[in-house]
Amino acid sequence: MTPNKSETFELDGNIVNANSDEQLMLAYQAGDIKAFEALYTKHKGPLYRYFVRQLHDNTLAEDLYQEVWGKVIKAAVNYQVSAKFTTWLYKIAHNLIIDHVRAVKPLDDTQELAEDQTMDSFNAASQVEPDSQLQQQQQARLLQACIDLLPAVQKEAFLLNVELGLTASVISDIAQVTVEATKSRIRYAYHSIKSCVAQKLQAV
Amino acid sequence: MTQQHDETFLALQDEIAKLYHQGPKPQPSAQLDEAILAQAQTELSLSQSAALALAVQNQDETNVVSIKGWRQYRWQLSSAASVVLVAGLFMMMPMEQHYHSLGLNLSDLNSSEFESLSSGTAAGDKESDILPMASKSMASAPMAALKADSLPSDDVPTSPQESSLSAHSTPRIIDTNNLDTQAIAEGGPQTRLSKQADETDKMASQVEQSRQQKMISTLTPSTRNELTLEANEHYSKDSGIISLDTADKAMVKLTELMKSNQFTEAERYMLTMEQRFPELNNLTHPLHEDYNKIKQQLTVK
Repeated sequence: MTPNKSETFELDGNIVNANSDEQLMLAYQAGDIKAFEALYTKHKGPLYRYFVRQLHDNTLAEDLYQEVWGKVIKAAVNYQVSAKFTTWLYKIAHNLIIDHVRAVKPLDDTQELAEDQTMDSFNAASQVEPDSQLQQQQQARLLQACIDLLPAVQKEAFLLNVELGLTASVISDIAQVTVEATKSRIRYAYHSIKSCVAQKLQAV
Repeated sequence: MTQQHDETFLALQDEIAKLYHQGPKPQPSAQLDEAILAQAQTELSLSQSAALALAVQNQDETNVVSIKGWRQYRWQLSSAASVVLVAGLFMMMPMEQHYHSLGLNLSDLNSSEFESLSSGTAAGDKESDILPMASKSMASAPMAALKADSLPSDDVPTSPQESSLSAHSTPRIIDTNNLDTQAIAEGGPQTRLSKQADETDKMASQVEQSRQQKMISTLTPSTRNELTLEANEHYSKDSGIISLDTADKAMVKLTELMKSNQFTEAERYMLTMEQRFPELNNLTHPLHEDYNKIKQQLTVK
């Protein structure tokens, strides 16, 4: 759940673990392509899902995903350890989503919820209704459907928390909002998903 | 209450997370992975080649052909040469100034020479024996000669040197006069006379030049300096007091002062004349009687 929790950082003193993201990035900067491959392998899944789950457009998600890595590669020459690599990576991703999607058009597959609104009153769309086969698969599918129904800001906070185990503080840094607002978003997201999944299971 | 609430939320978080991770986890396609890794590889190669090029460039800059020999010290050498040149000029300056001072005296002397020529009086006293050498040496400077030509003779104060100059220049005139009178007496053709006069002039000038050169060559720089100093001393002492260059004129001036009852000035003038024309005390001098008379008058008063 929290893959980066075990790593110890002292960013001000530039002391980083040998296998940390930052060390891998510095190794790539020094010409070690294997370091980049390790870094990429580590982060490719969560980052890809970060885009796919928010955008519902695989082509756009892949474009933005590639663009994020392109920016990372370009910036490697002048890279300095001034922040956590994960924070830096997802800041780029966040800004890309803002620039390419939110600024152009609203996420048309989702409906906005108020901060304190739950999904109890929400009905899932017909194409995402759970199939009634295996309960676990059903629950997982229901969960995905419920995640899709989350408001964009809550979804982003939820995905960053559940995929990477990032704390509210780090998420707030990425999303550039206050920690309290991030905590609130995370709580509402979890509660909404729980209610949504329960509601759908009852319906099934 | 809050703690219980947090525990409930944590349980919910764990449950949802567990359920989330049980679900499908889409991954980027292998093609996308390859494209990104290829991009990373390309960028790395580019940056390495750029760094290599930069290193080569830096190496080239450090491999600049070093200047060998004296050229590597060319700034220092040129500076030193400039200093030597300036110092040399400063050392030359006193000599130059001295030369100019000689030139100025020469101009004065030359002007007085003209004056004495016009008066046609000669004085062969002790002082005049010294000064011709200076005047001759100075006469070689063309600048000084030009100045002498341009200066009006009346404005130039008379000095003891003049008598000596007149003494030296007089023979030339006398010779010419003699030739002229001789030619007239002979009553020969005019062309012959003029030719003879030209030859005589030429010879006279040659003799004069050789004599000047001889005198200049005999003078060492130190001797020239001494002579110049002495001449300057006399010049400064007498200037403004004796404006006439002959004993005759001085006597006339002294007589005028006596007549006009300017006894103080006359006495001062007489003292100057005493120094300037000591030959007036000579009993055989034609002006001695008059001079002695005025002297007695002034001494009695």
